[in-house]
Amino acid sequence: MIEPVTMPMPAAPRTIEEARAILAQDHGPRLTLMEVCGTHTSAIAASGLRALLPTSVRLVSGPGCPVCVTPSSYIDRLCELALQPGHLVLCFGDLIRVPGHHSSLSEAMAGGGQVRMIYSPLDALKVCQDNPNLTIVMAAVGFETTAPSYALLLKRAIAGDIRNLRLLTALRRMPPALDLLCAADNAIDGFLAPGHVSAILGSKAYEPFAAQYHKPFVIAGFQPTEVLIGIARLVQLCRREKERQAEDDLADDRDWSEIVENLYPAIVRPEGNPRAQAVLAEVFRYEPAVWRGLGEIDESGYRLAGDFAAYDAGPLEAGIEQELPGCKCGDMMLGRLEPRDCPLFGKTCRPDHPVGPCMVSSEGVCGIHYRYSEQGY
Amino acid sequence: MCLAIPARISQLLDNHLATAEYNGNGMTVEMGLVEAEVGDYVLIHAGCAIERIDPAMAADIFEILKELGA
Amino acid sequence: MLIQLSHGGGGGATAQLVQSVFAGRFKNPYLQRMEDSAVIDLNGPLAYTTDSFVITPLFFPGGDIGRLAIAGTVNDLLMMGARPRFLTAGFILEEGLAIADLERIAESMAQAAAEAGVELVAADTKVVEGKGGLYINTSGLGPIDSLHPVRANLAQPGDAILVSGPLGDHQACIMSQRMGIQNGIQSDVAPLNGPVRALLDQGLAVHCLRDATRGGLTTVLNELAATSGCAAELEEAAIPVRPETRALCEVLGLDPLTMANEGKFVAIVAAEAADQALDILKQCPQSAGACRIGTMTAGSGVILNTRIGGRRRLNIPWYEGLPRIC
Repeated sequence: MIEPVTMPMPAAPRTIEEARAILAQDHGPRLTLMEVCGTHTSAIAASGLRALLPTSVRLVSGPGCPVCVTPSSYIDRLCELALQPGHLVLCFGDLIRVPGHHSSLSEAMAGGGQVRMIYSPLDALKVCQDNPNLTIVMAAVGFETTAPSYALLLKRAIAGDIRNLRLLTALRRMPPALDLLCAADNAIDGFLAPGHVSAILGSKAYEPFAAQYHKPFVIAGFQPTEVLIGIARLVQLCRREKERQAEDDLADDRDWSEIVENLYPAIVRPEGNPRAQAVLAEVFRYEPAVWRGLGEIDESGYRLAGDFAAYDAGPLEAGIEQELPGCKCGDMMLGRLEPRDCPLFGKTCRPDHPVGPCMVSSEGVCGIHYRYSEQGY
Repeated sequence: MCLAIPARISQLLDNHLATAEYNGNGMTVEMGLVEAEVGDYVLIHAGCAIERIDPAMAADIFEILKELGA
Repeated sequence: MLIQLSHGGGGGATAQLVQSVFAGRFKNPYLQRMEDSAVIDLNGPLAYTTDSFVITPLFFPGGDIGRLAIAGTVNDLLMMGARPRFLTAGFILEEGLAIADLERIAESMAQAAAEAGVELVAADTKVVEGKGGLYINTSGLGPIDSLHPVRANLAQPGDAILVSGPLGDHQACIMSQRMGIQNGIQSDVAPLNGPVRALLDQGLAVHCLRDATRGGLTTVLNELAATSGCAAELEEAAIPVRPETRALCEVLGLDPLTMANEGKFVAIVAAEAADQALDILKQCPQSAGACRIGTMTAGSGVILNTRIGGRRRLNIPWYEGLPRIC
């Protein structure tokens, strides 16, 4: 392969100062970078990082909030179960205030529903043992970071002969969504990949996307320093990639793994966590799943399989997600828009009366932007 | 989707559990997804260890955490 | 022995409960008169406040609901530049509450009252059905005798923003108890007479005082900035949080700047008084960790300059933070 005469690979920034210098000196046609993890969205907002971005870099959020992409019908079903005698719903704090079509779990509690907040899926085991007369329904929401813990919960339940546990699942897989994002007409030049999902999947998981779509991926951790360095590195890789593509350097034998950069090597290995992957394969199968704002994506949901299906709290009826007039969440999640571009943001759509999924959870992109905006909470 | 902390395994318990410690905070965690010994550092998410932290590279993470006053 | 509904009947059982639990611990001429009301003789402007306490667990590292009930109301008076003098306490006991626990709580209240130099002059108990819970309401009265007025609308651009010590410990302690996380975090619950009176008795130009209780530093500063018609600009690196508390917040996904404290306050003082105010605070045990965290400026809201050189607003959250995994 002939080494191109354009930019060699620049050295990655290692400090806050180096990262800030890269951003301050960036110029050229505007780059659009996307982060796809709600925890990154939060970290970016909390660290005030946007104040350090040049006008040549636009940073958008993807569908990285698992609560936000969960259909309203899921919350409705949980509330129904909570109000059913002989049932107790367990969920994380993230889910308790999210509204369905009619109410949130918090409101169902106020109306006599049995709901308890837990911190770990494995806490469910003790609740099952302490309450043998109740059916314990675990609200299983999350991406690959959390899915293996639910899988482990079920294996422990079977080993302990626990029969009163059920899972109502809304677990989602990132790669099929990434495929949609890469293929969509949304002008994304590169991705900040989620550090902890990557711990499970492995850094190699992004290489097929880099090779097919020719977009750089940088895997970063969640401390403000790590996110800042990650974004600066992504800017470097995207600029270099643009130059190489301008020179038609899309040769088949190009090593696309060079534009997948792992800045979190202490935790993310090329192959990920094989044990976690094995337990996922044992307990779940893939199925098409609906992502609020994006529609149905093939193979993007985890469903209990084989013997584990006995613990399924039942498939959700294909609930019709109500059409929300004027809602721009679909475009938002594809990175075509930012919150301030949505005419409803801050006016008819606010945290206390959300219209679409991006605002429903305080960890959704609009919920976060609103929280850090001039208006408020 | 990804809140997790790096903690040190201080004691292995029965039933695939362990005690892990993060800056003075001790908690009981599930170990079924990793192989780790007392003294190892693991990444903990929602009460489960989801990956072992490579000790050769762990220094970086703790440097950053120290810098940030954690 | 447990509280039963009969303890609330107003007859002999009630009298005996009041006698054994409360009377011996709160000996003062007002209570001993056993009248329907206390008669207080005070002149001048008075600060008058009330608060209710519903915390669980009832006992936690660093304190209990009784200590909290005294300190909370005493501190509200201190924040107005008042000298706390008299408190009342109303108790709602659920049947099933252990009388030994009630005695411990009463003892703790007596101790806190002595620390704060206040007298409990009126009290009441009621018993309701339940599972052993306890709720306390206290009200407080004290003359305002600070040299300069201390009010929420007196902050000005240029004023220094001081905080009396590390933040987030009380709520971090409670969350740790509830979520089963072991650590050495203690609630900071304490009456703040020492540091507050030290500042005021020196006649320093203290413009605002507010204890950072529910909603934490963020809520206090937003309220003071809004009422005073200016903005607060903070340096993240200067805001004190104990490493253990910060770590607990990272474990549970909480923000120490919005978490409740029960023994910390914000002081907004004239720029020229800042150094002396800090010196005074650092000499008091309850405010040994005092430091300056920012400056009032023209504008509105609260702005945070972050450790990585970023900048963002610090807004009041709509809801209290719950532990999260995302």
